[in-house]
Amino acid sequence: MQRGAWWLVRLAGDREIGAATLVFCVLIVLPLLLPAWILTELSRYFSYMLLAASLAFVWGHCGMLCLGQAVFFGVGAYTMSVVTLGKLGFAPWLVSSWLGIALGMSIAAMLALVLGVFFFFARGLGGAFFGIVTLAVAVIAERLATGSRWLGGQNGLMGVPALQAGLNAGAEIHDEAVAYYIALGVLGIGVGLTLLLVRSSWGLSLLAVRDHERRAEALGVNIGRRKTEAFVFGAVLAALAGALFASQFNFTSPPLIGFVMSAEVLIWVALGGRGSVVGASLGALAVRLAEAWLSEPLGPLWLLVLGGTFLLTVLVAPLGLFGFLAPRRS
Amino acid sequence: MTDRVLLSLRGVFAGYGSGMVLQGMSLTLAPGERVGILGRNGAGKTTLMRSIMGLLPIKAGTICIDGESVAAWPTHAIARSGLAYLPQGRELFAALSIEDNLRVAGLAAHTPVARRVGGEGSVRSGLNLEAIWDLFGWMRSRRTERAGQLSGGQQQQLALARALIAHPRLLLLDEPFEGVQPSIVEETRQILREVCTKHQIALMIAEQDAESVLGLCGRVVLMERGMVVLDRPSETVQANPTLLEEFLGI
Amino acid sequence: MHDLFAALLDVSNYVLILMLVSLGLAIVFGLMNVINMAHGEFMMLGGYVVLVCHQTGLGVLPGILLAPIAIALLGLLVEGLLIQRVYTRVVDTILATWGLSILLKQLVVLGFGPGSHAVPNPLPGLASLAGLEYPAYRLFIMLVTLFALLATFWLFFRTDFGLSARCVIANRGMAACLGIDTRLLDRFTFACGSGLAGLAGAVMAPIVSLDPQMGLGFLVPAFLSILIGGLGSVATPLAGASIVGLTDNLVSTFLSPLWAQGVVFTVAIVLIRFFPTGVASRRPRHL
Repeated sequence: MQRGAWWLVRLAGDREIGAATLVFCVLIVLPLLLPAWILTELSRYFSYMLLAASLAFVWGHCGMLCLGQAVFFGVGAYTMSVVTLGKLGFAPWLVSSWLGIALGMSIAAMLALVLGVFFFFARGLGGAFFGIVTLAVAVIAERLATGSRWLGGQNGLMGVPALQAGLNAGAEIHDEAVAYYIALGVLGIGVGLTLLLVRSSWGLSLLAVRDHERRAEALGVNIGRRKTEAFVFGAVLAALAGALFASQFNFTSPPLIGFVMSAEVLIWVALGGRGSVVGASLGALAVRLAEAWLSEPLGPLWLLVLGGTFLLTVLVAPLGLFGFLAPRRS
Repeated sequence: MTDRVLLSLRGVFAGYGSGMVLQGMSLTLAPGERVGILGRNGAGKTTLMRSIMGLLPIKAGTICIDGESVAAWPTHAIARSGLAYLPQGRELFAALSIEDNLRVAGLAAHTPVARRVGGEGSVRSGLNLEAIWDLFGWMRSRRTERAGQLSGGQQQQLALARALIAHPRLLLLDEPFEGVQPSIVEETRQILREVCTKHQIALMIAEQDAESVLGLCGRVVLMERGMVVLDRPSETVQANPTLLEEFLGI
Repeated sequence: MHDLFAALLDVSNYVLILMLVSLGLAIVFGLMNVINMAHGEFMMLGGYVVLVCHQTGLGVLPGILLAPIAIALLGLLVEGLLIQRVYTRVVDTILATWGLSILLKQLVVLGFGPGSHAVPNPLPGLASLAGLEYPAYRLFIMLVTLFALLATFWLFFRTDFGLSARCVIANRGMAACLGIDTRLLDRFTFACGSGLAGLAGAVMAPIVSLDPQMGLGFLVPAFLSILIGGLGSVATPLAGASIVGLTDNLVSTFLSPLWAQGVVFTVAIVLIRFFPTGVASRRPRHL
């Protein structure tokens, strides 16, 4: 009882959790104030925010610069699409949204596991090496997706159904408010879980791995295993975001799994705050909102502005706009 | 000896990360003076030298060369103003030949040295390649050999030669005799004594062992926990062996 | 037999270009520990310089001469404004140069449009080489790249500048203690590396279609070349480039271009995994 109370006190004083709660409350209340079509727009951003959170965890917290986080996002999206479109060759009647999500997360986990086991257990393969390798993976993944007819080739897969409530197909959820709350729920669970994990002893050990690898190893932490675990978690989260995305946007295409998308999410996280999961999510939201607002009037200048802002942030405010939310570390 | 000061440190704090190794280090050195810095492992001898060379930015205090504050200077500028550093481990360019190791050291020395400080207007006496071959006889015939193939003692002498070729006014040597066979140690000490006297080169040697330093330096400074705890002429220390024992716990 | 010879020349073409791009990247990384994600864009811009020279009537060949100089100057600018603020933080350097690459790409899109452009071949026709008829321009490319590679080696191994640079690469702190102005060397080296990329792009311009996105297609193989070959010296990335180039061509010819990237990548990561310091080098590198 006492331990639980103490935890609550710590959480209450935590800036990041406070901010997350605040944002969450605001988001819960919004449907009462906004028209339905805005809700749909907004709920679509939630998948981006979840993706940003996953990268903030893997990169900001664990120090693994993954330049291909979108690969897992794409895996989630493609798996969701393939399943719900009934494209599973051996069982075309299996179109459950839940299966799509679960399968997407599993495949992403396995891919992350393979990559992790392959790379994190080798000596002398530092952070930037890893970054370049993940970059190459993203490029390859996009090529493969473009070249695969089963995955829809260059155009990808269209007409992906929205989330279906039933165990295996059923009515698609088209009510804007319900879909909104489901997406918000997914985001909330994902971010919430990440926030808790970051503060757990497992999460703290990852900080040690990030900043003082040799010392952590001397203290008995299996570096390779810890990093792989973290990487897998990030991948699963990203895949969840991807699956959600596919059901909201009703399509999946190669750019989502490739380099450009990975670069985008990196920019969101860098701008929003790489040290804070919540900050990164807000960064994604902010950039997306800015894009919705500015990309029409600015045209090709928008990317210039985005790139320039990104550059300036890296130079001048490397912690990001919402970086102040990052929990204080000892 | 004039009362000019070549090098002066005042209240220097320096360290790595959040830890502080030098804690209020103060020291002065006159031109041509030879001082031995003694202390246990971790006392701060290496940190001291790295701070002087600008390899480690100091957190507080001043470091002055010829009266001018150099704490903010880039390392190469400090080197060009006449300081030469021989680190622990020598750090030779193993893949380069003996001759190339020396040549690259000479490159910067022969550039118009942007010495902002007059330095008594003295022309630094020539220690060119020829003089080096004369000092270290064995090098001449092996000048094209890769530095990485030399023995410990030979590497030590090459490192010293490399430091000398740049016309230094002050030589910083960090545990130069570690892991070197005694005969070469003695030879090197002789060379040091000769060269430093002849060319008025000041010397700062960091060592754990007092013996190797006492015969060479006129002054002994004992460091402990990043500060000077003892600063005496060598004769005094040699006359009272208990002085060092107290502090070094030998 | 002739086909084999022609195929060999084709492979050499690609490998030499890759070597040029990788060398520039490796030099900058070896000396400054800077990973320039905009290196591919420097190459792309080299190609566009040639395009501009062609469009303004200056001519393609003068453009090829001008491009490396122009891009080297751009490199100087970038180093002074951007790199020198971030080069102590490896991750931020990656991000900053990435931001730069986005910026450069967009500037080209704004200036030339997102589509592709073509530059005419200044040396059309075939040349006779040992009884084989081979496109003259491709021979020219090989000559130019070979010359550039040799010139770079001469610079690094036969000049005082090169000696200083190699020392800084080997041990930056000690080099500074010997009076070498490492920051000045940084500047020149970055310019040099950028210039090499610019030359690669420029000399390739007449035989590829120039588009703003082409940089990435060379950045990844160049990185893989460096990782495979290792960073022990200036020469080792070339070994990596050979492996990457050879594998890519072989797979493209015998399987399909689609598989080529995947196979190259798989081979690359396996080699990197089991030879973390590179196949050709013995010195560990910390990234």
